Amino acid sequence: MFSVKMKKKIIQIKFYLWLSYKLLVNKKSMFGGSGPLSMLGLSLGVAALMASQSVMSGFESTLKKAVIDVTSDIQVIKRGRLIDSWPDFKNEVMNSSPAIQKMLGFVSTEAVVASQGKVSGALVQGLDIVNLDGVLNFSQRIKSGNLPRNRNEIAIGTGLALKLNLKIDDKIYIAVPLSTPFDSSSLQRSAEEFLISGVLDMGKNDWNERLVIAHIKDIQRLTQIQDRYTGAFIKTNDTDHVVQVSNKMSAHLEPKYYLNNWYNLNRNLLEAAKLEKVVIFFVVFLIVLIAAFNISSTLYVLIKSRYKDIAVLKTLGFESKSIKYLFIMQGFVIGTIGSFIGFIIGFILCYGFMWLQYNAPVISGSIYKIDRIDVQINFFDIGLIYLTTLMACVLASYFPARKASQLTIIECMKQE
Amino acid sequence: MLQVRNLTKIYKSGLNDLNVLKGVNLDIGEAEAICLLGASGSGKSTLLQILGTLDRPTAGEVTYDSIDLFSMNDDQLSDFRNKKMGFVFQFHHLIHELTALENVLLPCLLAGDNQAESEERARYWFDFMGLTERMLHYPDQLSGGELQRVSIARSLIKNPSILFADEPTGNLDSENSKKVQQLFFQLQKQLGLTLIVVTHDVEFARQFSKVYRVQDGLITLESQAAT
Repeated sequence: MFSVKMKKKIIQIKFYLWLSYKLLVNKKSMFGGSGPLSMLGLSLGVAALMASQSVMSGFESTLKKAVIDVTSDIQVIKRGRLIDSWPDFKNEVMNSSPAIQKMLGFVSTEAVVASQGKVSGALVQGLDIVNLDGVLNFSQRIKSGNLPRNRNEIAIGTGLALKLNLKIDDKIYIAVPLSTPFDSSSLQRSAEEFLISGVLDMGKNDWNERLVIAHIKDIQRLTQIQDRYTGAFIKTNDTDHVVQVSNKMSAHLEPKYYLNNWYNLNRNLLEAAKLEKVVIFFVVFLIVLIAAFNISSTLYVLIKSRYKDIAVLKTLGFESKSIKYLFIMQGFVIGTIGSFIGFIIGFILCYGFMWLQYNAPVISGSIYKIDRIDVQINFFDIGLIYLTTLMACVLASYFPARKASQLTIIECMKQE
Repeated sequence: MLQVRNLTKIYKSGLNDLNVLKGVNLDIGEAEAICLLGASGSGKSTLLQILGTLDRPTAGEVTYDSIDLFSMNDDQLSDFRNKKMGFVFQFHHLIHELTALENVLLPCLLAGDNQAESEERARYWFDFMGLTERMLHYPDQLSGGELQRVSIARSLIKNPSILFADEPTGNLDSENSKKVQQLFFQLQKQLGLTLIVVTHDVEFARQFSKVYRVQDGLITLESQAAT
C-alpha cells in the first residue's frame, strides 16, 4: 500500500517537473521574456561562487601539497644537538606512533652560496636521494635537469636560479659555518664547489629562493659531522590528522625532541585561507540572492501571462496546492538550469585563471608564499553551491507561486 | 442527477451588489441534454460555472446524486471535477507549449493514472475525432475546428458523467460549427453523457431535448422535445 502511494507520488512529482519545464523553457518565455536574463544573472552568481571557492580550495591544497612534498608530514629534530645514532633514534621515533609509515634522515644547515660574483644566503639540506620516495616528493617538482645523483651535485629552486642567474651544469660554491662549541668568538667555515644538476619548483616562494638540495653524504662531509643527522622527515598514513598524530608522538617521545608538522608550519596562512573562503562564499552568494529576487519578479510577470493556463489547469482538476507546486518547480527548474550554466562558466573561469597564471605573474609569491595556485574544483563545493542556489530559487519562487495558487478560476478567467 | 435549489449569486461591485442569479431551481436528469439560452449578461455562464463547480454560489445548493457539492472543500471539488466533469469553452484553452496529445493527457497525468492506458484512451479519442495525424502537433499548427475537437477530446479523456460547454461553437465558422454540434449529440447518445450547453445559437439550441432561458437572474423552461 505504502509503495503504491509512493509510486503515485513520484509519478506526480515527475509530472509537475515535466510541466514546469514545458511551461518555462519554450520559445515564448525563453526568447521573448525576461526569463533568460534573470537566469543569466543566476548563472553568473553561481560561476563567481564556483570560481572563488575553487581558487580558495586550490590555494589551500597547493600550499598543502608544496609543504608535504618538501617537508613531509612531520619533522623531528633533536633540540640543540645532532642525532648520533640513527638506528636508535629511528627505533625510538617509530615506536611513538603506529601512524608512521616511513622515516628519512636529513642534515640541514644555513649556508652562503656564491657564483659569478653573486652571493646569497641559503638553507642547504642533505638527503638520502635514493630513498626519497614515499616521504618527500621532489621528483615531481623538477623544472629542469635531475635530482643530485653524483658526488657534489645539487638541486636549487627556481628563485635562486633566477637570482644568481644559474642554470644546469653551472658551478656554485657553498660555504657553511662549522660548529665551534668551545670558542664562540671564532668562526670556522667549510666550502666546496658543487655542480647544479637540477632546478626545482619547491612550491613556496621562500624555498625557491633559499632551499638547496644535495646528497646527505656531501653535506655531512661539508659540515664535518660524520654520519650524524639533524633530524628526520616522517610520512604518516593520516596526513589530514597530522596535528593529532604529532601530539601523540610528542607525548611518547622525550622532551629533547622537537616536532613540527606541515599544518603548524603554515597554520596562520591556512586558518586565514579557511576564514576567507567562508567570507568570500557569503559575499559572492549575495549575487545569487539578488539573482533570486530577479527570478521572483520574473515569475510574477510569468504568472500574470499564465492566468488563462491557471484557469484551465484548475478546471481540469488541479488543486490550489498543485498550482503552487507547479510554480515552485519552475523555481527549481530555473535554479537547476541556471546552476548548470553557471558551473560551465565557472569551469571556463577556473581554466582561464590557470592559463593566465602560466602566462603572466598573477600572484605575488612574496605576499602569498606561493606564486601559482592549482585551482581545485571539488564536489563538496559544487554540491554546496547547488544546494544553496536551489534553496534561494525555491524560496524566491514560493511567494509568486502562493499568489498563483490563491487565484480562483473565475478571477483568472476575468483577468485574462 | 443534478439538483439546483434556490441558487443565488451576488457579485460585490463597489457600493452596488450585482444580483446575477436570484434563486434558480433546476433538475437535470442522467443522460439529459439541456441548453441554456439568454442574452449577454443574463447570468447563463455564471449558472454554468456554478453547476460545473468552477465558482461557488452566494446561497442555495447544488447536489449531485444527493451529494451537496459545495459542502466539499476546494481540493475535494478539484478531484470531483477531474473525475466526473468535462469542460469545453468558446475558445479552445489548450496550453500552447504542449502537443495536442499532451494537452489531452493532462487530466490523466494530474490524477497519476497509468500512462499507457491513458495514452490508449487518448488515441481512441483522436481516432474518433479524425485527428490521429495531428496528435503530435502544437496548438498553433491546428485549425480552429481541430483545436475545438482536441479540447473536446481532453474533456472526455477521464470518462466524465457531465459535459459542460460554454458557447462551444461561438468561435467557429458555420461548417465547423455544424460538425462540432453533431459531435456533441453523437457523444451524448453514445456515452450516455449529461450535456449542459450555453449558446446564443438558436439553431443549435433547437436540437436539445430541453431548452431553458435565463433572464434577469431567473430560469424558465422554454421548450421541451416530445419523448
